[in-house]
Amino acid sequence: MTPERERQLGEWMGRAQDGDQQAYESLLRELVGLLRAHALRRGARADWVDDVIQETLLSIHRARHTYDPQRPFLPWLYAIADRRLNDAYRRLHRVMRRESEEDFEFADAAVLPQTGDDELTEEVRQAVAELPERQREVIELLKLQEMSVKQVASRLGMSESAVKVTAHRGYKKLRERLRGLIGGN
Amino acid sequence: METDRLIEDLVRQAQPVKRLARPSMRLMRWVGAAVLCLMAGLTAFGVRPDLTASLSDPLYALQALVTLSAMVLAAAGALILTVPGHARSASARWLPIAALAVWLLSLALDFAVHSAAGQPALWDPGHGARCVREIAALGLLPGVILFFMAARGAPLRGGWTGWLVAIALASLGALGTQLSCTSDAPAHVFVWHFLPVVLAGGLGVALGRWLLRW
Repeated sequence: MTPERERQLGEWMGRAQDGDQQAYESLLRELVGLLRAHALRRGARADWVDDVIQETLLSIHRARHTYDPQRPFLPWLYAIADRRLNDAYRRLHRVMRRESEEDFEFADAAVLPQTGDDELTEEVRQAVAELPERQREVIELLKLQEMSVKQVASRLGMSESAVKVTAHRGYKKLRERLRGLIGGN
Repeated sequence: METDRLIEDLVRQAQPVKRLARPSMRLMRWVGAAVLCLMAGLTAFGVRPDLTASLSDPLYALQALVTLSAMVLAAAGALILTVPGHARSASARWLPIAALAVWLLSLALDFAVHSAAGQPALWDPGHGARCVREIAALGLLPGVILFFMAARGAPLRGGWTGWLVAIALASLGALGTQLSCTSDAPAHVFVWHFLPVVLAGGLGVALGRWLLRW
């Protein structure tokens, strides 16, 4: 990143602070590539880097009043990005540690179409179908095709931890969507 | 795709914002408010009758100066840490610790001087609880003000920011208490003036992590 480019980013942010939406859009679009490269340099996994970028953009939006246009832009940006990256690592470790036991219990109870209740089965199938593509693929392979985490990881070209995190997120969405249909969950 | 949508949403919501003033400017405002609170508190609690004579004692004056430094450095640190990527954020965290260490060393020196002079150095429990109450009372309002000033920024390190806010408010309280408390016994100052500052710092870490989560 050249000093001129950094100055340009700082200038856009200064104008964004004054309410210039065009400058703000240019800035945010430019930041996506910068944040992606930074996250990958810091060891972020490619499959959750988009989430980190989005969380960082939200944080930048919340913190934009703290940027001082007289100061360099990149240290301000990367301090926020590092904070969100650290949060993502912590979240990942938490999910890994928990091994999502409750998720798999939930999945056994809810996702497998063995309830004998056609209406419920249809609701579950519909909820699974409405999941984001990656989450749907992972859950279908894990629960409908009864593949192991390792097999799913190999099939989809993901790491095992990424499969677990994706499944965890999918189960969370299913739990929210099916609340009331699945007793106690 | 989702990122594009997010950017469009954020751009739509982008209203002009009031820039956060520089930490030095915010620090001056806080110190002004803190001095007013301290003066009001000392008017209520009263200063020690021999204050002028005590200030001529180098160790007493050093301890008052170090407590004042801890207060200002901690408040400055708390405000600096709310600006992401501020160049001085590392020293902002460590300078208040250095000030507290100097205070502790001066107490140890004071202890040695008192012992050598045959003066009571070990224990003077008399009005310890009152000193703690005074520290809390004197530091409370400036602490609340500093907390809200910190929360208005972006406290990326909630625990550290909470610690610095707590050290600033407790050091302010301890400074006021040093000006009103009549006991110079170093053990009294250590237990009833210094330790409450350290304990407040611990509480500040917990509160900062909880309330300044960012």
